[in-house]
Amino acid sequence: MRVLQEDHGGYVPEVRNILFLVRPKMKIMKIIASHIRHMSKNSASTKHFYIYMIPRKTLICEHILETEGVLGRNVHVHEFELDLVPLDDDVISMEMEMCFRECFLEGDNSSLYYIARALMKMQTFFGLFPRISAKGRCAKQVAQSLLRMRKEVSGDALDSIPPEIHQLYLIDRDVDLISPFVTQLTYEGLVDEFWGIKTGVFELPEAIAAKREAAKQANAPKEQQQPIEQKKKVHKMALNGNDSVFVELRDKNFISVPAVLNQKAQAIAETENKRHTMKQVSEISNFIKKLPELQIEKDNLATHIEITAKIREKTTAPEFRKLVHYEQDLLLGAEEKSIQEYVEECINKNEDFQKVLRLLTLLSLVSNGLKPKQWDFFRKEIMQTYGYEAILTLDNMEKVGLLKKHEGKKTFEGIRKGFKLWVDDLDESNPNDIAYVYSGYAPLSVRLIQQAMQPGGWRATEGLINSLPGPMCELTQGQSSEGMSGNVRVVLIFFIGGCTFAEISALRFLNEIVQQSESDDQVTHFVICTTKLVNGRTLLETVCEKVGVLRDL
Amino acid sequence: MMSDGVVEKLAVAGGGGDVTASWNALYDRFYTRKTVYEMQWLDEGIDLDKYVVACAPYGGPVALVRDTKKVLLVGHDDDELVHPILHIFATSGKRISATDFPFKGLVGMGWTIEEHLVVVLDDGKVHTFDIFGQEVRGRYIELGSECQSDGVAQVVFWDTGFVVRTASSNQLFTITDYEQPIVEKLAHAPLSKPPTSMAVVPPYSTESGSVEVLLATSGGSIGLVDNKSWEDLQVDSGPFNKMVVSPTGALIACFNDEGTLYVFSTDFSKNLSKFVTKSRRPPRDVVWCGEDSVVLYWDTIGALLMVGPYGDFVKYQYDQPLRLVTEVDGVRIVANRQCEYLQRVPESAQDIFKYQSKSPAARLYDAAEAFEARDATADDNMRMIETEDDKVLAIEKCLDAAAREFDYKTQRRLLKAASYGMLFCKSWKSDMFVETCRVLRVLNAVRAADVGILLTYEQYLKLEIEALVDRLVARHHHLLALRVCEYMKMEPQRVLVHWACTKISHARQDVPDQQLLAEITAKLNGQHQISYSEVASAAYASNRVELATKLLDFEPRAADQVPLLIQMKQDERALDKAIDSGDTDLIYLALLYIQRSYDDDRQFFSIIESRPLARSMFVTYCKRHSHNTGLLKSYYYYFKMHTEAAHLACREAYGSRRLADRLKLLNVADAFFTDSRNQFAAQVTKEQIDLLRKQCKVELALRDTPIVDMSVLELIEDNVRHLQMKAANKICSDFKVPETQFLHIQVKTLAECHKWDELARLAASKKKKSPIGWVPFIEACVQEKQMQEATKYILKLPDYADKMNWLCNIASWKEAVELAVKEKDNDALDVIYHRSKNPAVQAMIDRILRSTPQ
Repeated sequence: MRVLQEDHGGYVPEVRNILFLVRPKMKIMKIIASHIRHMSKNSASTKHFYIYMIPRKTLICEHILETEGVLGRNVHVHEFELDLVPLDDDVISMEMEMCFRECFLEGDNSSLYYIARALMKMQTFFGLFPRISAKGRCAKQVAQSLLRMRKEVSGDALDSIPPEIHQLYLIDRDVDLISPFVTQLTYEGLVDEFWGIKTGVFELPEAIAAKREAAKQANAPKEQQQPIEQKKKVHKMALNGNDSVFVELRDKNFISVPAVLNQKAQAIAETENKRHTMKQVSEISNFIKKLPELQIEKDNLATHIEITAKIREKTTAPEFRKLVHYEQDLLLGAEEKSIQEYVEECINKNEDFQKVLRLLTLLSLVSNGLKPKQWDFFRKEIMQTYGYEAILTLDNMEKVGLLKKHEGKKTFEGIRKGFKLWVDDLDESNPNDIAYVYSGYAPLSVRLIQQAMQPGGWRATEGLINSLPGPMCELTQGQSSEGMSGNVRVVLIFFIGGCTFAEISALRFLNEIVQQSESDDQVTHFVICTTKLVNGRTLLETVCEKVGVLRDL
Repeated sequence: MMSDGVVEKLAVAGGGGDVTASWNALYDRFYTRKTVYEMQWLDEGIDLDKYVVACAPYGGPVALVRDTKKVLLVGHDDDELVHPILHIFATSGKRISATDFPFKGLVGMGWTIEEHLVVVLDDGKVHTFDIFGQEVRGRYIELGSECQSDGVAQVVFWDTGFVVRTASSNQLFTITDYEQPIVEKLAHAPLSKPPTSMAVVPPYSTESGSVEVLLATSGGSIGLVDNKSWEDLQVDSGPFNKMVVSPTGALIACFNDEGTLYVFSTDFSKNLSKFVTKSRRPPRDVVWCGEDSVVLYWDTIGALLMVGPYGDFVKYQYDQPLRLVTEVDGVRIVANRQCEYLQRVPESAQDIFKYQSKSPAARLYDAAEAFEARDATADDNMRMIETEDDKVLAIEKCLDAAAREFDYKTQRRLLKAASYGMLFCKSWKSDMFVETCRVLRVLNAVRAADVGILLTYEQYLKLEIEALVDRLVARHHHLLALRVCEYMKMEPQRVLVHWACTKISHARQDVPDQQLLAEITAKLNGQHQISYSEVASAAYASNRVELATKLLDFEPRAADQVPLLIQMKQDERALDKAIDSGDTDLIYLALLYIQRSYDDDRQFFSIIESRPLARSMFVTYCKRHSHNTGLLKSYYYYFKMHTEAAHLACREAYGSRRLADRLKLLNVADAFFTDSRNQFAAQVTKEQIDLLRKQCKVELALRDTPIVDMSVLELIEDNVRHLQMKAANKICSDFKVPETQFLHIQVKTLAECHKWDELARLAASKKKKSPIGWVPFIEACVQEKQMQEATKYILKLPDYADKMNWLCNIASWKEAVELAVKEKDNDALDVIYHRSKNPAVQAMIDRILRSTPQ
């Protein structure tokens, strides 16, 4: 098994059958073609090549293989319909990191078709979504595609499946571009901000990894112990609902994390101490049965304590404090001048390009664009500091709407008030509003869902909803949902173009609020679905333009 | 010659005299041979002897091509020798087609599972025909240069593939899947002489999953060849003239030059039987009848010999040429005058009809017969079936026997017996009776001589109803197929679509499109899941573009519409349907085809002009494929998109690796920015060109470290690092770098390379007031962990509280204490006392507090 490299590097495996698992991207087809040509030329026996495209085989890719002249009799093209990847009990990702760029920058709607297909697949399992609410250009298109696809599928086959998902919300990322650019302040969000969580897996920083490994070694029987130095491999840790410690930490604002860790440590110690008071044999044997579980929990706790220490190191650094301070100033509507100066200072100090772009994006979004003079000033500063080629990235950002020249009056003020995006009196350790995830700022995307679930839904505040970009549409399908049986209500929330961990935390919190307001026998489950879990940095990375290096004067 | 000891064994005829008349006992089992058809081709005077013949299994068609190797009487009036013809008949001898066969060097023909006729020629070319003798599109295969130069000598078919042997090198090649015809070369067989015979074990019957070929060597052994190796199986009873693998691939029958028939397991580990015929002349055909008997046919003496597993045999005599077809449950005998079926008597029939059978089924049958004849013994017979279970069993047996019977009358008698039994059987709940009647109606209908599919019940179960319907449709028996669908409660779409396609392709040219459309939609309307695109495709193939377009409008699936519209050159329509579908793959496909179909790109641009999605997708496509930038440029030019063109030039500039190219392209970008009145961008581009030129000059003249491609800021940094302040100043003024930024760069860079004196000098030059304040100085020092240096700048801060904060933050306790004393701030001292946790500092504070009067 190998990762497909652009350059085949003269590699010819000594096997008869070669399997490619790839995305149906034109560029990748060309790479595969060059690999196939190379391997066929440099091997005595006939090789068979199996190309599996995820999530589907496209005509255009086959066409490219054909024009590249490799679509022969020993090349087999198939599809592997892997579209929805469950990352957790309530989180599904389609792992399409380029979706944001393709949909909002390039105007390539391929992802929307895949989304519609995936949702269609869900409908064949769980019945028609009785209600679909969509906000945003892409969301609307997906909703309409769903209707069209239903017509293509035979007759009324879907109508006969009892619906199990009560409501689908489709929301475009560009309806709320602000939230991903604000620094996430939840535990999971911070881990993602500082190190990145890839497909539910966290690659531990070396120092933590070494400690975790050492702890495991110490617990292992003597004969299994190996010298730690020899195993210098990357240490990965799955961050999901299977880790009982993580479950309690993930959605918390970082401020309350130490307290939770403390409680957890005490709880574990208490469980362990029980053994001293045990008298019955059955009690003891029960306890022994639970030991491995307890050990895992202890290991995890130790690791999370380490991670917390690392995060604290970073969050207490003046740079980070300043950043959060200015972000919050912006969001609560403070004077913009000091923020502009801060951005300028960051540029002057040649700080991380992504950080500068992120701040500038927030500034532009909140103040509804930069004044022409400012706009030119920042662009020039950026190009002089980070190189002229930044002109391409800036242009991309302008096209997506992350940056823009000032126009009309500020709309953000109205949106902030209307959606109550800033919450002042907030207790992060014992929150009563979703705003706790950003220590004051309530993510607009989640407020939008919250609004939709109020009586009257979006229609009740149509003017406010319409002040956000993109069309809104609400559809019903199949029989009315009134007759739906069971006391479990499943709500599917789909973010097109990505969503952040903090938003997920906020939605889980919203789920709890909704739950509390309902009668005891009624259960509501939110399931969050997105094209990719993102943060400000990763989102910007997909918009950035990469350029080549000069080799020859 | 055959042994004289061959005695015909007569069947032990029992109760159903007429039924058992054709039975022959072979050891402990019975075999029956029945004539099913009188051949309709008799009128045409078809003589199998003159032809190469291929018969399809499952009672399928018979293909005939004149055998050019047969010596024929000179002067015989035979047009077919000059103009060879491919004849295809149903197995009842009803003609299906006759088409020209302009090919030379026929090696062999075989039918595939989908009833296509595969014809292998000696130059390695392989043609495939449908049941009407029409070449199937896209199925032409060439076996490659080796087969072409050496010549193909022999071919052995199975239902999904074949193996060929070349003439002189005896190299084997195989195709195992007609859907994906990959020619695979098998291992080389080291034979000095051609093999005396060849047999194939199909891939689905082998352990390895790849095809295995058995070659009988002239030395008397047998070799096994697969894709990896050749292995001599060390058999010593050869040389074998004939070898045939059994239907399941488990056994092989081999006939040697001494006239002995052996049956081995296919791995030759077991010799299961041996039968001496003493005929030195090899039989023309050897086929398996089921898994336990072998049928041999000598055409020269017209003898058909059936040999059972324990050396029992039956001999039949024929005065006409014939061909044998192995079926899953027997052998079909296609002769000049009739078609017969030779099979083992089904167990249920044996149970009922065997002489003196006392089984419940036999009793039920007898009872029913007696009842028909108004004979009182009916009741006695019925009474003798005692238990309910036996009654059920008896009914089931009668139904089963009926299903397996060819003869209508016998079918009817058995069904009557079953229904008679049902009257007496309270626990009979099954709908097996109805089911059997249904299947029998279908089987009888397809067996009718006009259709001529000789399908047994066993074969029907194996083939499955869908495949049977497909076969009917392929023979253009649409009405019958439709009736079968209705009767068997199946969806009729495939039949209807095929009917519509056939209707169009067979319509006379003068039939107007409108009429065809009306007839077709009248039949197809109201049906779900009709593939209108398939019908449209057929219309297009018949040059009825208008009809095809109209039909396509009925198609709900865009993925089926678009490719056909493209093929039909209905560009804009294809593009619109693709856009409507939301399927970007289809849009790309349409775009690419349309773009390629125009010589002038402008025509293409004008088509996409009013379609924004198509436009953005076209641009994305071009951007992702660097070789399409030319096309993208003409697109931008056509739509006068100068800014985009400028960005493209920038992108290209930064994609090129030579400076000269980069400068050239940046100039292009500059020109486009100017055209688009983008003053700002034009200005920065000009500056960038200037910067690159300057950097290049400096780098080439002076420096050994590369500086080209640095940003303005990096360049200043570089200069500061080398303490080239004059050069740094020059760049700042050249590129209008604000003073504040310049200061920031200097502070950061000097601190980074620990040039503390220079930093102090810089601070001193700003006198008391620095335009960026002192905090950046402090931060830069703290960053480098130089608290001593940091303290210097902290003390420059104007505000006392800030000073104190910073000093505490960097743990400069001594200075903090001093400052607090100076400011007479006892509270601060208290804070320091607690925060420092440093005994020395605490002692100092104690001292100060004691010495200071409260």
